[in-house]
Amino acid sequence: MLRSVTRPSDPAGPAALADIRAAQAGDAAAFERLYRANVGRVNALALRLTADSQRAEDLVQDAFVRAWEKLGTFRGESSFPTWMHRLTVNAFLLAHRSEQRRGAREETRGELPDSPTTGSVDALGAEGRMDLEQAIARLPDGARTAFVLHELQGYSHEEIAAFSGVAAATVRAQLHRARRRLMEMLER
Amino acid sequence: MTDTELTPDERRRLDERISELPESVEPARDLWPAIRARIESARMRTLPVSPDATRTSATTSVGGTRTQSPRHSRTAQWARLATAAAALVVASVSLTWLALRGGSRDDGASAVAATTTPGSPAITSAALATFASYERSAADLAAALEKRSARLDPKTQAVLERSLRTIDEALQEAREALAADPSSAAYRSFVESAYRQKLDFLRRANDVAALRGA
Repeated sequence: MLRSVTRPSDPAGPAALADIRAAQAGDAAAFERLYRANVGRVNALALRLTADSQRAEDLVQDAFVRAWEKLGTFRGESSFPTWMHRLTVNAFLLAHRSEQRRGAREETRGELPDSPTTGSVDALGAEGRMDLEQAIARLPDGARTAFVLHELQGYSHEEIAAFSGVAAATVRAQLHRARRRLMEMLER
Repeated sequence: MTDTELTPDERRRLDERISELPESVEPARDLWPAIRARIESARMRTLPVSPDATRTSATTSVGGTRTQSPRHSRTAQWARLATAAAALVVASVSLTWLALRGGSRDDGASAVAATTTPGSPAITSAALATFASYERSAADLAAALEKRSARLDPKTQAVLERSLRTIDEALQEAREALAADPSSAAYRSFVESAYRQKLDFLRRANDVAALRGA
């Protein structure tokens, strides 16, 4: 089910495994080493999901705090980076649903806006050509989530639908629109 | 805008762009101090409540060392709090002295800040939330201070580090007192006061360090 190019590779060698075991026993210094080794990948995912540097920082913090709390459940069936990515996605969706319940954000399930969803992303590169990171950031929330989870993280339509609480057909439609809009922005 | 699927050629070009995305992007700032502070807060909240919980406080350092604090009689706690209060004053005075003589800051600020832990399970969630907020702010300030440490001479760093350690010891004493008697408004007030003084100290230390680097 996981096929993406940006899916984390597994750098876990003996040292990482030792750190995981030590952290599970309560050694925070070992957990800090795990944080240092993985924060870049988690932050990359957080930035793509949120399209906002401040929210990405919050998400990274949430993910690692949850990792610390749930370390005892990590059995090594997946790699630690993959486990961290899953925690990050879960933390993002949890926060997203919470925000939706509070009505703090407008969900753009259908139409794609003409303007960026965040003002924190520089839309164009030095040559006036948009790169993919910037284009992803300009997608509306639903389309961006579907694109990042499916195209970059390798989740299936059905998994995303289950995570997000929408129909799989809606996920497919969001993906089509996201891809089309991305190509328009990238090749404009 | 159209919802039609991409052509095979468009799909190939999009896949090429996806393959160029970096797997890792480092955060703009070090997030570990804030994460560490939150972990400490969470660990204190999840400590089991036992009949001894109102008598014995527990301190868990995120550095990995678990220590059980000593039992205190009320009288002894007040005596230690008085000492802690005096220590806070000493720390504040030392910072003022440093500022006046043009000195500044602390390299070990973040490490010292990270040894603090709020409350006990019996303390109200509102108080814990307040303490956690103080912890996050202190962690951010300590991280900022750490970045500026290179601008300061070793002697200045050592003085500030000692002052921060003194503040943290005072804070720890206050927290232990509150953990032993969670219903005490006086103890809670003292903990909050200690946190505020710590934040004030860190802000002023940052100001001094920034001036030294200007």
